[in-house]
Amino acid sequence: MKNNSVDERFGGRNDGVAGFIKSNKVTVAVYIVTILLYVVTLFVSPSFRNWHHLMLVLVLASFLIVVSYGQGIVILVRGLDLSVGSMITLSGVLVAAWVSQSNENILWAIPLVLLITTFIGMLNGIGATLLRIPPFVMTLSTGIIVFSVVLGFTEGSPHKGNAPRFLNGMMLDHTAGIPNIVYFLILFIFVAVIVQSYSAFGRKLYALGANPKAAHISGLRNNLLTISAFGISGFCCGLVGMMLVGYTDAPTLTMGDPYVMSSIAAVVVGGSSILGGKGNYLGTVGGVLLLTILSTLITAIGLAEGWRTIIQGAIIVMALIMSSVSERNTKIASAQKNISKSVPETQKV
Amino acid sequence: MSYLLEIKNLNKNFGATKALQDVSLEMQHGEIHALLGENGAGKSTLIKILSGVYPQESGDMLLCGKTYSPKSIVDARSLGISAAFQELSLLPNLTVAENLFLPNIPKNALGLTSAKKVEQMTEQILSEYKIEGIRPSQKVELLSVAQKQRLETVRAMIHDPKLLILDEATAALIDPEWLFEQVDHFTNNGTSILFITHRLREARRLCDQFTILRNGCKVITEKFDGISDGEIFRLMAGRSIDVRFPACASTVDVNNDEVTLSVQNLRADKKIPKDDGITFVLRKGEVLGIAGLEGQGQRELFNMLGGSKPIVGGSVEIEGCSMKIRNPHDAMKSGLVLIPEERKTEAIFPGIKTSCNVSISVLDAVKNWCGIVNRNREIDYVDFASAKVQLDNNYYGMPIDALSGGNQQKAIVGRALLSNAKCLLLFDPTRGVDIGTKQNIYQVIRDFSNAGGSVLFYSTELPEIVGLADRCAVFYRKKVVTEISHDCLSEPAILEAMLGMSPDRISGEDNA
Amino acid sequence: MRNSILERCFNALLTNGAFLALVMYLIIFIIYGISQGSYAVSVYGITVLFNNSIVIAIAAVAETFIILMGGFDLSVAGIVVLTNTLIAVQQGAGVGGALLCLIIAIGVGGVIGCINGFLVSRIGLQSIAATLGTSILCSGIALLVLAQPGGYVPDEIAYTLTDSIGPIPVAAIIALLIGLISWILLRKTNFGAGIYALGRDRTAAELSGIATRSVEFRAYVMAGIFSGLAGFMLSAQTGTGDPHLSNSFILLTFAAVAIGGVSFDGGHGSVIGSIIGAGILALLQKTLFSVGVSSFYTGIFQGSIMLLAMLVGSLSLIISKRRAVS
Repeated sequence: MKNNSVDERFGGRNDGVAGFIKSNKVTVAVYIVTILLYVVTLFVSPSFRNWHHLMLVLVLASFLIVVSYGQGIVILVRGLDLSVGSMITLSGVLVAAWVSQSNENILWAIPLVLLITTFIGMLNGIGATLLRIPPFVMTLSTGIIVFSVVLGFTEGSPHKGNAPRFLNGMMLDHTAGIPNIVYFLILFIFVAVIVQSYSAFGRKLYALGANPKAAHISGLRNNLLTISAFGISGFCCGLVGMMLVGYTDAPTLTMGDPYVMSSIAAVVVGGSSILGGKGNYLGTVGGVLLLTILSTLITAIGLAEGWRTIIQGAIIVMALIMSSVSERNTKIASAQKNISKSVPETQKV
Repeated sequence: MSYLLEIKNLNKNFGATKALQDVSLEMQHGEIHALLGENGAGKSTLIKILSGVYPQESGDMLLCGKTYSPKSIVDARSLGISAAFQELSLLPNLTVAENLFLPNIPKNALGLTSAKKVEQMTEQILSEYKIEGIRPSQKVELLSVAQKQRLETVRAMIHDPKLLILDEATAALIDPEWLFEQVDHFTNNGTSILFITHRLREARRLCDQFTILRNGCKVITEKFDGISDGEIFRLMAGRSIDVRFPACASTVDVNNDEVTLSVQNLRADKKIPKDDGITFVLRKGEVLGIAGLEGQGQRELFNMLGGSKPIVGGSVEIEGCSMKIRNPHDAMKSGLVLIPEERKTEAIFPGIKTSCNVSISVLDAVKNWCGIVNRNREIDYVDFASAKVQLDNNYYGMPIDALSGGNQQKAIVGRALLSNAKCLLLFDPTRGVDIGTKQNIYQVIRDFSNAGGSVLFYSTELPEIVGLADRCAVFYRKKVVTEISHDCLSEPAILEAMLGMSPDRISGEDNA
Repeated sequence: MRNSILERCFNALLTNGAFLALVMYLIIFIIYGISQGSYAVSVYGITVLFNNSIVIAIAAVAETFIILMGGFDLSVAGIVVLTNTLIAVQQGAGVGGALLCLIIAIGVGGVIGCINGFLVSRIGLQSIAATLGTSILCSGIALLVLAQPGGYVPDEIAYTLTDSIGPIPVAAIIALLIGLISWILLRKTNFGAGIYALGRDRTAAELSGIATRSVEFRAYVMAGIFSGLAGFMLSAQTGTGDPHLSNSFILLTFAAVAIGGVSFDGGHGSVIGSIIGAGILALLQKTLFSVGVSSFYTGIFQGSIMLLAMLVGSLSLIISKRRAVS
């Protein structure tokens, strides 16, 4: 027993890839569908059969990949963040206004903007915990308020300032044939997965989401954890706002809007439970890729805008139904397993 | 002679749990029948099937000789069975009158429910059943628990059932005579009553016969005459002689050993006088048993010490230092670790691996400088705890909610053992677990105290306290009324004190 | 005696959300009246106020049905936009056309409501997620119906419904009607009692014999129908179809419900509160404009009022709990 790997000692699961697939069925399914969709896209549109297009997909997906991390963490602790749209816009507007083309203010501007959005996120968390306002309402309100502040700051004209060169370079330039942002994405996903799935903090978040009452009684600081989760969401929004400005070269007042619903959609499609306590970030990334590739496929086929939306809606509903059905099945399966387990157990006693 | 109700070989499963197995029961017209059993014995399942909440799985039910299988509560009522539920099915945000008539509030000529008409009808009903102090237009959330319980009972009665089911209908009543009067009135009209209670005295006062359920099976149906309380308790618990309690290594010296936990006039309620709170001491290496009838303040004590209920007044000292406990985090830091009462809602993290459920209390100890959990060290801790509670490591990778109740409880106890506790607070830790697990938990408790830890141990099963505790503190009316030393520890002694029959209590009542 | 009346008013302020909303409305209206003078109380001025708030008011009524039950309905926005585009492309004119439009609104809302109800009450999906899906579906269909803003709404709708009859705005009559119907549904039927019961305590509701699934299903259908009516009124307001509904629509709907004192935990609140809440949002916008606050900052006030309403709501809950104990 002592020589076995950690995995084995954790649950007799030494069957490598098969074991991973077994315990992450939803995630694997999402990636399989994503790859199939990509293959279909390549068939439909031969001009996409190149490296550039693949990289383009990744760049297009990068924004949602980052927002969905924050959204996923908040959903993990039974919250919901509807203020992501406004926070993204705020970040973009502030960075463009404070730095504006030259790079000179970048050293203080970028950290400051991240600090501001993180702080707004934490305010959401404080409202949801200490003031006991439902997260849904709290983030809705801060969303409205922040957007109003943005309107006032820009005086309604979206093109105030331009993207700092640094951000342009980050989003548009390539290094060794790969867009710089892809390197950043890999780093981001790596850190994100570590935080969510391998750190003590992440494990506490899962516990909190699975059963807040038990978490409280077990001595976890529920309020602190929830506030941090919302803070992370704010931080991610700050990053995305800058990325968007770097990509489009100028902020717009509606640049954050599409990300409210689509981040929730990506989390749900990626196999997380909207009730919290379940899911992982790699699944969410799969969900984002799936939605992004689907959208390029629809463009390639030349379907009307409406169809794109309909298909997205249908995918969300289907993902929900599938996860609810599979949840029911695993419950029955584990119950049966329990029966077979319990027989030798009683014999032991 | 025909029966009012015949139940034959009733079965009901919830997933893997067999809630009822081959239960048979007969009731005659006008009979008051007591249904007894420990928590989780299957009483609630049986009455929920009878009242149409759950469908039956197999077996037959006959009501007045006809097949009875209600599709819903409303259906059951119209067929002649209605129930007052223990968990109080009243809606706090609706009025007394609305609650009384749900789900079909009487309508006026326009087809709309009319508050005026319904309130008039309610007024009449309330006076008919001799309930005072409740206005029909009042919201139910403004009623006291006793008033709610009466309302719940009346709600079941107004349907003129052939069989009335009363589930713990006296639990919150200060004066159960009201209920007895109503019950007498009912049975005179030929209605039968199925009476579920924990209080044997009341059951004896009301009922002719009783049926005992244990672990989903019927044990016996018998007349009350000629059977002692002790025998009934024994049948309910079904404890055979083979339960062995681990011996303690050395007896605690009451005078000399150092005090781990000292509680002075602890109060959960502003209404309790300053010097009338909970007071006791717990020494190093001691297991202090806590006994008491339902609702005598023991639950509040555990929750206050565990940090999940605010302390209104009094002091808690650990190893001589005064502690301020505002939340469970504080409690754990000062060395008090609670194993809560409700395993499912307060202890387990469903959907999360069993090993992670155990290791949640050591996460901060096994993380490295950047917060990443060292899985090797984590699993060492889990192995250590599992060895103590004898949790099979095959379960590590399964989500904890897939495990049986006993194994879940082992994991929870294992978690508590890892949390550096000076004092374990165990609130009924053996409820609803199999006999093997119980034995394990007894051993764990004794090992913990032999190693110098202290244990506060509440159990609804008196033999456990007698067998395990070094000393017993008995609760009555929100405070410790009697402490029984190890030499005098016996079931009758505890029971006597629990029922308030010690001198302390008489003086207590005089004051009140 | 006077003291007790004052006390009762104060208590009502804290515990009755609709009453608090009404007081807030009156206070804001006084500020509005002072800055606007006689325009504020002119028939035209009042008609504009009602017209500006009626769409959100009906949508908020729809949302109230679901929130009282402890759920969330994001599909309100989807149904409104779908109804709007369908009405804009239908070819009927005159009174017949207007009636057809009404049927479209109720039909679309009912069908989508049925889908929501099925997903939530039968399949057991979480309401936020399920309605998010149907909402996206609806806006997709709307884009297929009408790719660009345009179309035509019968004059019978566009003019009559935004006008006034004598001194009374038509929108006010509609608000009154909608309020009355939904109030009767919620307060004078077993269905309504079921909604309140379900929102407070599902288990207790089940043990009380309420057919919880059926109540839930019907509530989503009702919410769908009211959302359809909101779309109908939106078409009357704009006189045209637009497949892109402003993003703030759903936010304002929830804001109206929150300001109206409806508890987001379910089981507490009234449709009247939600309707007044919608009125406050519109009035606030006008008042801020009239006192010279830049329209950019409207959101700050809207968001703050919403948070304030929620805080008062949770405060009142604590107070009523305390009272229940003593």
